[in-house]
Amino acid sequence: MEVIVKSIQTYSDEELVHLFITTQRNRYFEALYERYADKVYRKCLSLVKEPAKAEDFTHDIFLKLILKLGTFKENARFSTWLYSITYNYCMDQLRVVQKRGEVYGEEEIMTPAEADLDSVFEEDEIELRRLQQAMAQLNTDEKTLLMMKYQDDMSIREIAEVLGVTESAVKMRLLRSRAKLRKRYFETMLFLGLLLSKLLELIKYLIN
Amino acid sequence: MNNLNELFPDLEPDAHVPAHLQKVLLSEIDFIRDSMQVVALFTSVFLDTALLSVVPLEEK
Repeated sequence: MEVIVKSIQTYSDEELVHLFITTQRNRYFEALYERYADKVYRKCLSLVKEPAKAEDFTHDIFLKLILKLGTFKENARFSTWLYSITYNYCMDQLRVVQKRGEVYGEEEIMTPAEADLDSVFEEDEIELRRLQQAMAQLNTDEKTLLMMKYQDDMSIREIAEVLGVTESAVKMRLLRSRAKLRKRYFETMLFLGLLLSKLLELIKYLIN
Repeated sequence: MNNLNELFPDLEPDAHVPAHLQKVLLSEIDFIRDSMQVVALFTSVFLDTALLSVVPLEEK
């Protein structure tokens, strides 16, 4: 039994998919699940914020994966393919919620077209907590795009394929999302600065 | 922008998928597979029977 478990762990994702399709044995699916369930769950949780909903989404995504496994092209990366199912599913579900009016749309921002893609964030030190707060203020599409690019290291071409848009559209959306993230990031800094100055004023007032 | 590449992986929440989800999924996969086998079996039996009932009529 131990020999089987060890050999399963050495298989690549793509080999496991092939073995599951040909043999229909659950242990190959279980191996894939153990590799990716936490990652998919965390992505869902990042987007929906509610553990129960993230669990439901993870369940649905893996069921969808099973039904779609036959269409998986073995020259593609399994992780990219699974993440594309994850992002598309989450975006679709959250759009339904937005249409119902449960979440309000975000304010549009204008970004100069000539802005350099790499100079949107030029600070040496970016504070993680503030970045998290700034991310929380972005809409699902913007968050998804930034996660695909910076968390999953997907190329512009791969993102374009997942979203079904052109590469130039992805570049423009990325630029806008980063500009918005930067704006939100500095807004949190400004807010904290204002809060601090008000606190100092209050302390001064209390002392006097 | 290098900062973002380094920071984004840390933005993921440190959470784990509930353990029971794996069992739920596996039982659903088994159910789907079994249902498909039943449908396939029923269809083949139905078609075989239909074929057998048509052939003697033609011979008569």
